[in-house]
Amino acid sequence: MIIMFGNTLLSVVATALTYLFGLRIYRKSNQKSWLNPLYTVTLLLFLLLPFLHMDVKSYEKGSKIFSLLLQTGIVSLAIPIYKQFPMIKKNIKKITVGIVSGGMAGVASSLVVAFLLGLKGDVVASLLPKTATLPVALSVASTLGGTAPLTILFVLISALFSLIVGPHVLDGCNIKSKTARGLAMGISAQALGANRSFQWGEEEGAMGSVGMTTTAILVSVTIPMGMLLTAYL
Amino acid sequence: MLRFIMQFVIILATLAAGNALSSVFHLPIPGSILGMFLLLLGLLTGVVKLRWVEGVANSHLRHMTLLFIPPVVGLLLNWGAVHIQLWKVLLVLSLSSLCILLGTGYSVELYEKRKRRRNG
Repeated sequence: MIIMFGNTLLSVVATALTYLFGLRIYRKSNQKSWLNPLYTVTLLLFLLLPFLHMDVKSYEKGSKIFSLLLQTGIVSLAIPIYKQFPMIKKNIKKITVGIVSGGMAGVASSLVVAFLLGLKGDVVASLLPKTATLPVALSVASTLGGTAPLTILFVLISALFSLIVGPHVLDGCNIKSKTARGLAMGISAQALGANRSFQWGEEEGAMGSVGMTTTAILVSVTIPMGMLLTAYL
Repeated sequence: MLRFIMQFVIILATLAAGNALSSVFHLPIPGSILGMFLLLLGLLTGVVKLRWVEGVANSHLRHMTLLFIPPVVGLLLNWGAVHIQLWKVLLVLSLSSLCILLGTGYSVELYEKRKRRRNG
């Protein structure tokens, strides 16, 4: 009992302190994107943990408390959605067209390519919800039988890919509509994409963050429902 | 500080309600997401006031990154046990990202064009 408590305390304190340190570096550097705390802190902890005599198992057990906070984080997403509600209501048709066709294209293409390459069930389960914002993707993946680390890896890789490639693809395909550009970036690269589309302008940026939140809603409802349906058939 | 704790208790209670709903009715949707809908519904109907939860929710969302770090560290420490073929995964991820970008972009553009034609 005492050992377990000590473990939790050590994991939490080590993680939190390293995070604060990483955040300081990030802010001091004028928020350079490659110094994002996610990268620096992960690397630091990875190097630091062996010195604290922590192995994977005890660290994973000790940091369980963070997964509770992830859940309250999802609940907190209601606040930005509430604030964007008038905007969502005004453009509901456009947004629906965008996220349904984008989301379906994403899920269908993942399924087909994953099937062709012969990927395993838990990998596919971690792949499918990747277009939702991270915390939502995580909880959907876990109901599908995916694993948290893989889901995080997949969401991050595809967000980064979309962030870098997205603007070129949109330009190259001559997609000029502000709504289309904002939504496409918000859906494919979530927070990173919304941030990028604010650089194009106010309207694109707002659409970017609306795209992110509404996709999260769509994914969180339709993918588990779809699984339930296929289980019945 | 007390205000902060009270605000967090509201969010925690919403989460608990969402989890209860999910398990009582055997819903496939995670409790946290039901909790988000409950809170949104509360805000829209005015049962919950924005200022009751705004402070804690904003700082919570700002520091979301912290919560993703432990699983990624776990993944790195455990890399030997992960059996995925990276090139396959990268192929799936990049192709489907392209599909999302194009699917969204073209469909919205087409929708706007049609609407303009109908109106003009």
